[in-house]
Amino acid sequence: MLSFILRRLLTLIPLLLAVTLLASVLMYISPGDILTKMRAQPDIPKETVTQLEQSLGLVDSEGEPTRWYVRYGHWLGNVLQGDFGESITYRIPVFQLISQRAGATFILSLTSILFAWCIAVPLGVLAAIYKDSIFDKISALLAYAALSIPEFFLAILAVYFAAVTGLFPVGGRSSIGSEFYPFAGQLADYAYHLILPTIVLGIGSIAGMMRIMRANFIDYREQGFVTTARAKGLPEKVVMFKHVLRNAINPLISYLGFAFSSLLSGALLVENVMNYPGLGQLIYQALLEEDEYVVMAALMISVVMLVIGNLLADIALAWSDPRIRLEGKGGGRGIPPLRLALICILIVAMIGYEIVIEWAMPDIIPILLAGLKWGAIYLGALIALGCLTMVGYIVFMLARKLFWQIVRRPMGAASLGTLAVLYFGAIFANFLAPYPMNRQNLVQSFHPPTKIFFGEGGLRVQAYELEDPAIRSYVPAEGKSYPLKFFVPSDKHKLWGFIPLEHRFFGVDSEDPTARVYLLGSDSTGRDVFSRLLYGGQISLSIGVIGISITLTLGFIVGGLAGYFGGAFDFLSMRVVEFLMSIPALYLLLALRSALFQPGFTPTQVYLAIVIILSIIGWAGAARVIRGMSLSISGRPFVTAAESMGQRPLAILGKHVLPNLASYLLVAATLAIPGYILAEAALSFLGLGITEPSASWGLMLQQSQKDMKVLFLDYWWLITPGIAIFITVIAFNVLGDVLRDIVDPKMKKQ
Amino acid sequence: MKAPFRIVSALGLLLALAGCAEPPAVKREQAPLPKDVEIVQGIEIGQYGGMFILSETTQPTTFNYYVPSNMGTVSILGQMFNTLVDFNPIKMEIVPALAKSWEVGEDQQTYTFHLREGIRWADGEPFSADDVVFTFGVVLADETDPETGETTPLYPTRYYSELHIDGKKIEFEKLDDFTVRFRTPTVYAPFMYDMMSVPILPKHKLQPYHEKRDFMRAWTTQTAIDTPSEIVGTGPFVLESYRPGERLILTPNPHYWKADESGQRLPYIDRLIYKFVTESNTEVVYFATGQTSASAVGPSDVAWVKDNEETYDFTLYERGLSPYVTMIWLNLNPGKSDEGKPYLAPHKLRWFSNKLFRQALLYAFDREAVIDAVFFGRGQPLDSFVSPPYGKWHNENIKKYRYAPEKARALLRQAEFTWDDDGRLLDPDGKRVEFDLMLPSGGSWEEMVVTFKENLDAIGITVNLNPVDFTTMLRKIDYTFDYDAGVIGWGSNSAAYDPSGSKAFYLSEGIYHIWHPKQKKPATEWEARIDQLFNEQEQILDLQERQARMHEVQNILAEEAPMILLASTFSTVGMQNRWRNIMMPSAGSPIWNIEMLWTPEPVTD
Repeated sequence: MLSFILRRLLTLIPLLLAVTLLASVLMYISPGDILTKMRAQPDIPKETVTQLEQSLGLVDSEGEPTRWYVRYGHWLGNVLQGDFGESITYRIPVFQLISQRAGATFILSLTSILFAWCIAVPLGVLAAIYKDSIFDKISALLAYAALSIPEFFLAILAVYFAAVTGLFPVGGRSSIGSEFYPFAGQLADYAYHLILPTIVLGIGSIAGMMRIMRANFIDYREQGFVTTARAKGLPEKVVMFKHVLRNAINPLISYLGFAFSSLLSGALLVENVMNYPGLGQLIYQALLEEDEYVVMAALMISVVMLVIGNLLADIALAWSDPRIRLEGKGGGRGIPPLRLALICILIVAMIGYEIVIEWAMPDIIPILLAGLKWGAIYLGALIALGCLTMVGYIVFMLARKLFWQIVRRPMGAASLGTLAVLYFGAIFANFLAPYPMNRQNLVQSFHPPTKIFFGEGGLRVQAYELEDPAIRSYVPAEGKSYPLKFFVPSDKHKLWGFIPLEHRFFGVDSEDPTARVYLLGSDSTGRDVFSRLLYGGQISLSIGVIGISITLTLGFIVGGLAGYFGGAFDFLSMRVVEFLMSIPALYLLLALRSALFQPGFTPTQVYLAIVIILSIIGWAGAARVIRGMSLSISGRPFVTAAESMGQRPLAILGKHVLPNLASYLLVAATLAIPGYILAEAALSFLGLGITEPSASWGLMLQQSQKDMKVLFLDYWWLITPGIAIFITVIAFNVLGDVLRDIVDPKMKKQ
Repeated sequence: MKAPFRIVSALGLLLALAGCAEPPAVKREQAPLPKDVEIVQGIEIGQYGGMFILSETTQPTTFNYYVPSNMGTVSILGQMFNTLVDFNPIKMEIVPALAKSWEVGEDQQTYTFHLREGIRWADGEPFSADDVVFTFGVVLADETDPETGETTPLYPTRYYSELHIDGKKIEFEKLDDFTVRFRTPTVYAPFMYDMMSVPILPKHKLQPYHEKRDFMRAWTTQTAIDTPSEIVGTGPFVLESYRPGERLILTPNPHYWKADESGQRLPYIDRLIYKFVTESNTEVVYFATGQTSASAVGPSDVAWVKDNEETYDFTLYERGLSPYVTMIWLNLNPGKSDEGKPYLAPHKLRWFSNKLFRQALLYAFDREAVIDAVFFGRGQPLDSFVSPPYGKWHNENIKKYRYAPEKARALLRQAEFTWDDDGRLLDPDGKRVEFDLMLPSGGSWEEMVVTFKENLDAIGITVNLNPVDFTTMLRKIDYTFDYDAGVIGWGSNSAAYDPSGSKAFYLSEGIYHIWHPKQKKPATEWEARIDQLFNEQEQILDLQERQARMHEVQNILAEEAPMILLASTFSTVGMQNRWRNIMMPSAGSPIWNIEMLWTPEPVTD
């Protein structure tokens, strides 16, 4: 037991080294530094900034920027002496700073997990017991909904709910007078403030846990020991709760460890929107301001939390399931000390190598990096195209086989239909949208959806007048309307950039340039929300498809090879995978974003950069699962047969392993796409993704949230992008589940 | 599975607690009033008690005023410390603070300040001229490298250079315990404004840090958390507690030097509380639901917040235009980089340096429509860099540009631009007119800029929006100069204005002369004229004379149009009706007189 724990904790060392190294490099690559803001203030003289640069060690004595490895080495040296550096913004040791905040986040994570458990376990059990009943179906539906709603969107709604009803505090952690309450009062006050953030943060993980619980419960209910127990004459209650539940709950316990890491990501968004003073806020600020040591320390904390979370989960699992032995292969995520040392040496050697290169050729790294960045983006585009073709081919192959099976199921038909409509809208946006993406109409900002009625021999669009300019409210203009025509002529534009069009699907036929048809109202400069939704869909909907293609291809190559070959490659690649998975996704996303984004990116480049970032983060999980499957497939007779016939490994992988994995890949892809859509939305929502003049659903939602008037003045049509995201994500989730049922009914429990 | 029960029981407990939400009243010590106490005249005499709650989006990063920080820090520290003189935003004039009076010498270069006698720091230690000399000594401390002879400040802050005039330090000396004399190296009109921005710190607390050359590490946020009573000032409030990310509570300074006519020591309120929020959205929601006492309300939020006026018993005060300036400017830098590459493509420079072209852009831009659409009509286009709230400094009678696309076309035709068959604008050489506009990501002027792009598109000019992060933008403005045009926000929300604060902007040699900084000598005649006018006004003490010169500067800028000023919105401030003695200034902090506010209903339910 003790040696297990020790070994586990030892794995922290290379992990921490690698994480901080990565953070340090990313911060170095990203433009700007901690003094950026200060340089922006016109009243702070240049000399002051220069002097600060020197005293903070950002430049050396000759005024040249300090090399990252020098700073990293310096930092590492200090850390070994127990000094984690000082926050530049706050001028206090980072650990002091973090300890000011960590408690709040820790407690929020804990309550969210608790909340998720308390809802998910009973619901999952009930759904399993009353399988296929109305209750089961409704709970499944609710689970989809919970899974599909973006966290930040939910947070906004929660804030609005709190503000309007007054039932809950609008953010914060304690009431103003709480310092003067008795202890119990303070506790109650804190609990009261925790309710909403807990629900918002916890609701996302309920769905997943509930499904696992249900599937497991069903599985175990049919096992032999249950029959035995029943035969013994035990009451059904005891059988269910003592025998089945205890077995079925195991996967949830091991899931607990990873929950921490994903909660940290979620907490960043929720804390920001709901004004909860935790680590997330601090780290977000530190990342934006490049307060380097704070970022490093925070990343270290999150990694430590993840490892300890996993450790605790394993110990809990061993306690709950006596069959599992910690020393044995069951808890096999520990690394033998020899290999551990090897990794450490490898990392140190890499740093050394870098230093030698920089020492020998001082300017090579920035040049290489610049080249790499641009190269990465164009190469990325190329790879993306390749991946898309490959995945497209697989999908096409399978789709012929699966299409009718999907359509035969009502859920499948509904979700497939929904997605078809959405993608059709996005693909033909240039033709279907009545207006160009950025066509303004300043006299009709915040216009509600226009009424369309039948009269005078055709469809007509009601005209409106501005009623109150102070709240931009409109009333229908009596007797004034415009004819709505189909295939109306428009200014010249191009579909997909090369098919010239001179018509749009529909539009108003009027001389008045401000006469518009607004199916879903207009935004702050009078742009048509419906048109923008279609155009925005081009980005939001394609990002998932392209992202998942890259992810799966990468994951397949790495995971497949690792599983097939095993050995050193397997070991190394899986360590890289674990490393990537141990960093909270959103932190990594933000860090990569600041490192990869170049000033002056065109919208296309921004788009590509986002896809690449999302794929870099996403492939690790896929690789891990594919490795496991390819491991089991490579032991099958037909692979041995192929090997003995002298086929080369790559050919075997392509011809024998891939087809066997294909259906899994399809299911995984369908279920993973929502992650990309949500990630893009989150990034754009934070103002760090797609920007004007492009449009994406995330950006549109962010623009609608600039102030609370959208909710308080009932400009409800401006939150339709949120609803569009929600519908898309639900459709993908449902389709994924249907596919899984078809492809492999047994897979359900994963 | 006990958690649901726990939540339910917690809720129950909460309902029971609802009655005791108010913190206890502060016991006022009756320390005798100082000899030179300021009796505040003409206010309603109030009673002690009540909490005044504000929200703040930025966290304090330090409690040491001279450590570079942010707006939030400055406004909080402003409640705890005093400067020698103050600015009264109602009377729009400089008024006594720690100095009860001052006189300017014959040579117009010496200023003698007479300090109030009998003032004590919040911990009871007496305040004297030593503290003033200490503060200026710290701010101006520097050291000279014996080898290179180079002098660098010990503590790099903006104040170090602010207190230098033409490279020479302002001199100061203690005449007696309550008299300090300053001497400026030349006649320097904005001197009194500088005095308003240098708060006096206690020598007895900070001297040890200064001796160890560790002044910048004094009074961190950790100090505020662990030992709030260590941070002492002379201002109306002292720190009671600070919870990072949550709130900061200030209580009355028992030794404050202002009292009302009945001899009651100010301030009246028991607690001044800053609640920290992450975004301005939440700030408005807090105020509109009665959870804070005062807040700024954005132009498009006014309507719905107003609906709550009765329910939560507050009033929205419509103030004048906000003094904040936002603008688009064109790069006019004709220089070349070290590799001989021009910063700006020569044909673009030809367009931009043509005054007619610049004016045409202004006429083509429908700023009023954006104001109506986006700000719900609560604003107006800016005409002068010195915006209207600065009172007499602002020049009313300058050239104003309003949306007139036909005028824009006429001007362009006059400048020999033509249009091709697609309606795109061609320059005299037949090149299509197209340029990039960089905008810092996350700016609030996004809609303005998008409209600018669309408006110019309508007269045949293509503008490509180029979002960059702020650092990159600054690097381009300051060092590499390789951009076409940009958007930037400028200035503060303070009502006190003196052009000296923007010296680096007006002068052609200035580093913030944004369209063409750091000129060796003025590149154009009109820039030369601005230099001359600006330098003149700095050397005259007569306010009217100075303002006349600044009016002329504004005239030139309006005619030459190197920048396209965007819009200024009306600033609206909400304040709860239970507060008395509210005096709402047209700009700047709505609670500038926080020490005079009181409420007849100190306990809310």
